[in-house]
Amino acid sequence: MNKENSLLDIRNLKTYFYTYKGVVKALEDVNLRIGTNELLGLVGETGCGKTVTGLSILRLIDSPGKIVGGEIVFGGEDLLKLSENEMSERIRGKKISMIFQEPRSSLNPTYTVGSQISEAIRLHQRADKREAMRRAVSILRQTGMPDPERIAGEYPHELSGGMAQRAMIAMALSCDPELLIADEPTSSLDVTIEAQILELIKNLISKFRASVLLITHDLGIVAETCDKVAVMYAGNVIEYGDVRDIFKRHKHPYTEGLLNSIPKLKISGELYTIKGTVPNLITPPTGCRFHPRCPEAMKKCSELKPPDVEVEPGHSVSCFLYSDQEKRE
Amino acid sequence: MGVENVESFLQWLSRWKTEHEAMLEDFKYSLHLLRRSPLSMVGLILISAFVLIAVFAPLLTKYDPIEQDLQSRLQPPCWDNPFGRDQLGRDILSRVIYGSRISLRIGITVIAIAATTGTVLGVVAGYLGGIIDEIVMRITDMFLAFPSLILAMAISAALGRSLDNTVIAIGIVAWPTYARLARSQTLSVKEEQFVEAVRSLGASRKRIIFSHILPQCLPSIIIQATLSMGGIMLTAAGLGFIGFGAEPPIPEWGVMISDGRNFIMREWWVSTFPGLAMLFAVLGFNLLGDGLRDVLDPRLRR
Amino acid sequence: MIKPLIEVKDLKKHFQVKGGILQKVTGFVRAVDGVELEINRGEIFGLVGESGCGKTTLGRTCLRLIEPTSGEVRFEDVDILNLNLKDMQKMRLKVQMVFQDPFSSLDPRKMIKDTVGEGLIIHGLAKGSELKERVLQNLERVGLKKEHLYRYPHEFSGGQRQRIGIARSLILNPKFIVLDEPTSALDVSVQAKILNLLLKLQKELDLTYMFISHNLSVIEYMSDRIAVMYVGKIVETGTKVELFENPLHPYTRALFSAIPIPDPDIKHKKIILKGDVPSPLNPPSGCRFHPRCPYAEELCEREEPPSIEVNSGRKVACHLTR
Repeated sequence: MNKENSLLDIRNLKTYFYTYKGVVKALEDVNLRIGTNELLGLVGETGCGKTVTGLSILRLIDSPGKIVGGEIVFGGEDLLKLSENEMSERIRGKKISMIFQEPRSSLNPTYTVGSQISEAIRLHQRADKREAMRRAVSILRQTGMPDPERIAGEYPHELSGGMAQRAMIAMALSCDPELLIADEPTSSLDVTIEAQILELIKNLISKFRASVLLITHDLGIVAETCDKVAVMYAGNVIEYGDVRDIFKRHKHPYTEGLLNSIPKLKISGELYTIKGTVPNLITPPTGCRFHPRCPEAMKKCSELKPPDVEVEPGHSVSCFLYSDQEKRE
Repeated sequence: MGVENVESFLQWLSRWKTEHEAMLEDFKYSLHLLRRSPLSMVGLILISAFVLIAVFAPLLTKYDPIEQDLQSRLQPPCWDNPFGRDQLGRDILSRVIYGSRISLRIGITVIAIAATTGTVLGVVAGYLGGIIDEIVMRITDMFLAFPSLILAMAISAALGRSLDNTVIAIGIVAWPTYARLARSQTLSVKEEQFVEAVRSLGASRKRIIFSHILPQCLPSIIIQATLSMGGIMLTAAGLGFIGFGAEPPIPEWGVMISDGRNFIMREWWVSTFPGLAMLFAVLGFNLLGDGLRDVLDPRLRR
Repeated sequence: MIKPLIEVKDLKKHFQVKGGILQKVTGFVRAVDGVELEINRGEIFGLVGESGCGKTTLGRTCLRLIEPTSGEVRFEDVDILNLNLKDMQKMRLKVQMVFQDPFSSLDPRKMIKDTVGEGLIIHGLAKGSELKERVLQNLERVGLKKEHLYRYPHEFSGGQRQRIGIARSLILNPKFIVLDEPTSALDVSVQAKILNLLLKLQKELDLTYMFISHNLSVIEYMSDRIAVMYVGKIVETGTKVELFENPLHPYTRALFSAIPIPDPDIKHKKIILKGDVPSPLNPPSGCRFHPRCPYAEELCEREEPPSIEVNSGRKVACHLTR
């Protein structure tokens, strides 16, 4: 991918959690790139580190967790080198916003929706109270909220799940961010409401010209909304590419196993299951973290960490099965 | 013969240990968490000292706590009597030491009675709901409406002055707190899916209450008990100070402090030492209780 | 004709909503509002719907974990809602449930041995070493091992806990199991293993399932016959093939079109419904779906559509299918 085009470039990110039972190596050399005006799906199962990645970008990792290495280059600067003040004044809520799974838990229940959004606007942009409220209502309207003036005066608990999620999206977009991190934004919503929200997110990207990092475990959502996909397993990005690359021409055995274990409509036969279980990240497997469960594991998989190989332009895999391919070309 | 027994016991022990490995791990983790808080450790040390002093009282002093020696009344602290003597010539150190037994006994008895009845009533009320819940709650309301010391005084006065009556009085005042606590725990636990699961297996209400809900309430009951030990001892001392509570010549700390009221300016040791003993004992329980609360809080554990 | 194993007739469950100082009844949550269904022996009956549709309440009422407001639930032609306590206890041996949340469906203070064996203790069916044997047998059936007997729930993963929950429900040798979203809290790869396990057990032990889920792909994979619920009512029933090839009810069609499909080349036109799922506290008049239905007519707002049997076992509740 064109390096000049990239909005966010994460290199060798390491985030560890220092717990009673040992050091949980949640992220071990994560590499990720998001371009401008792009929807990247970060997909993986529980414990793979996708949420930790999202939180690391905004440096929201609290003790006992710590970002111990790597670079997060955003708009030319390394976010890991900024001070906490600079992060909260310039980056969080302004250049990079985040929305979460439970919409009502990120909205303060004692303030109305409108006042929360306008507070965010006044914090980051120059606007007086009335102007900020006007902009808040305008953004609520843009998220497809019916009757936005009335909604602005309501409290979060008075809204349904779908509407609360729209309110949270409105708040996240209120200061015109360049990157929106959405952590499982529709997991708690019904399927019919989920469809509405995903449609909204796609529309808003083109309108606001932002990029979205969509963190999810649902491959269906990824297939339908994302441009690019990164698949994570046990703290590593093991495959990255265009959405079609991943779903039609995937290379990594884990990606293969994952896609095969989803029940698909009108396709019968027993579901494929990946043998074994997700590894313990305090004592992760040596070499490639997937090797104990991999049907194609070779001897060197347990010894060395596989390199990132570009198997097609824009499509890379972290697997020894393909490490010779690049050399041949 | 003895060797065989020991061997089979050791076998049983090692089997028990592997089987209950998880439980032991949990316990070790609890201790680790407790060790991390220095104040809790202080509390633990104070309480251990308190308990040891109470248990080994006769070995720690040669004086009889109730033996009077009027010739040596109000003697100041000296080598022989490090805490001095009181207005009847009794050695204050030995009275303070034996007093720890009294306080401990009061504390444990009150908690045993109040916590058991209160918890059982609270859990039953919480689980069954309806009219039983209403009745129990209104009764606890009535008791909690009174300031505890006043109520204890009233009951004490009605029953007459004695150590046993003190225990009864404080017990009556203490049980509603446990009932309330147990009930609120029950209300949240009874909605958990495992309770539903056990109902679907056909468990009787009795089984659900005693086998499933009660164990969940135990951590907070234990914390509450530890924290209220201090209060109970203070109430007993308060009653003793006013003139209710333990009857003389029982060396109860509150009574001792009260005895020294009239001499507080010059013969300060009569009230001060029992007062200090009270202070450290209550402090110890409070610190330990706080520490336990943090340790047993499920959110902080994992 | 063999009678169905389970027959539900006009089942209603209304929860009272109390308010005000005197705690007067201010309204009803019509969680289940007149449901009819039949489940045949040996089949997997899927119950699907979104939040608030009443599927969870329906499942629990079939076990009598919740007492219904009115209606009948017949198991082997016996109305279980009218049984006395003693007979209901015996019924519990035949009808069991697997719960949704692996993190709260096991008592955290009990060892696995006690949790799985509790059913036997309650009914006085086994004790001591025989109990341990039977617990072990059921644990092995679900893929767990002897060393797991003396462990506590928090040491197990979500998938393993669900297996324990399944072992618990099997120990009384039931004939019918209600599975309430058994895999919704699990990862996709773990889900696959549990679903395969459930299918294996069904065949091995000749079980009948009521499989409740909001996940349509899972329902389609598991079920023989399916019922779709919306705000307390069943809007459509049929075999899996019938429903997925040719959904008749507009809600069923919208629901099925909303499922995200893990294939970027399949660009199907999604029917995006406007508005939110209505609350069962205040359901819309007439047909409950009419405010969001793209085909709604005046009749739909006035009258509730009856459930019509268009084929054997195939039912729809919509005015437009006349």
